[in-house]
Amino acid sequence: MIASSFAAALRAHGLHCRVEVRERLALLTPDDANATQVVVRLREVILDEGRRHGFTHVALDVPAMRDGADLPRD
Amino acid sequence: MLMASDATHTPSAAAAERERSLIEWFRDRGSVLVGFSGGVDSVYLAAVAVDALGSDRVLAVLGRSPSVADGQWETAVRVAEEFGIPLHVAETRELEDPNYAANPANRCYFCKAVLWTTLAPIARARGLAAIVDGTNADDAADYRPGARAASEHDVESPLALLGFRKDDIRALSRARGLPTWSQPSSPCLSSRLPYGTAVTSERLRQVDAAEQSLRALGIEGDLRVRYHGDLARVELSRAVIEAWLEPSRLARVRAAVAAAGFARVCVDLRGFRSGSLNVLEGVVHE
Repeated sequence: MIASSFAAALRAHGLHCRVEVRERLALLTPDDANATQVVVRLREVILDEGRRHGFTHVALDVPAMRDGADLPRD
Repeated sequence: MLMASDATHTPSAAAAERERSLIEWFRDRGSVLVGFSGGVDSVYLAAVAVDALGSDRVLAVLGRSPSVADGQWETAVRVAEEFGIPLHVAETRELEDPNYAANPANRCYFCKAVLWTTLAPIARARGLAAIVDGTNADDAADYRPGARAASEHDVESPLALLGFRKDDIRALSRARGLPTWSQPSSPCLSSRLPYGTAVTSERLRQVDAAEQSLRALGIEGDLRVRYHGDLARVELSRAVIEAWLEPSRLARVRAAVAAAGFARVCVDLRGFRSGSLNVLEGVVHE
């Protein structure tokens, strides 16, 4: 389970993110807070790459909002 | 929390035959104590027992402890009342057992040992001939250390014995008008804590509060908040996960879970998996 290798694989698919390793859980923090559309589009690819890199679980970090400014409201 | 389902659940002829066998099985026993959780299986089991034996020869016993989610507790009491199932509530104190609180991989054994040790004297005192639980035929495939405690206390599992699968039980429950037919599985709250993480009332309340807040957002289907210390990992039903990855909804998920006291929140991209922590910790392999 190598975070840098997993992050590089995701980058090759178009998702730029930091990968934090917690045992066999990979926690992804996209560089762009609005990258969730990319995550949705690539979800199966991300899971496949995660498995290939030895992770049983891959999760999207949901950071705290800065005054709610970086996420749209509905 | 009862959930709608799109699935068609009509009992098969084989399932209907199993139910007839179950009624006969109960009549052979004469009277029973049903370990009752308010979940799909035990509600169905208790309802059939009452049908077969009459309410004066059935007692459903609900173990009450901090590991039972509030919503589960409320459902259990409401359904028992609505369907004429005699209900007794017994306080179980599994958190006071250090073997349980240490949260080893066989934690469920210690929980069930406390449960059946509490319930067996009730059955004896009331002259009930058998003690039964809602284990079904599908459960045999899972990692279930609690089954050993049941066998040590001569607890019988007629649903498993007679080959009832979960789909059978849902279909037969629906045919009986039991509102639990479409209820998601709801194992105890301790299942949200990784093995080796001590089980405390505070942590269980935190998980329960987070899950209730997410339900209040309108999230349907299977849902778990897995406890990883400061981090909550949210598992949603695969049918809804992509909708909840929409940014404004994610913000609401975060706010709901953070309000329960988690500093960090993440959403599992694969979604709900029964026994997810068993996989994460290598107790079982996919």
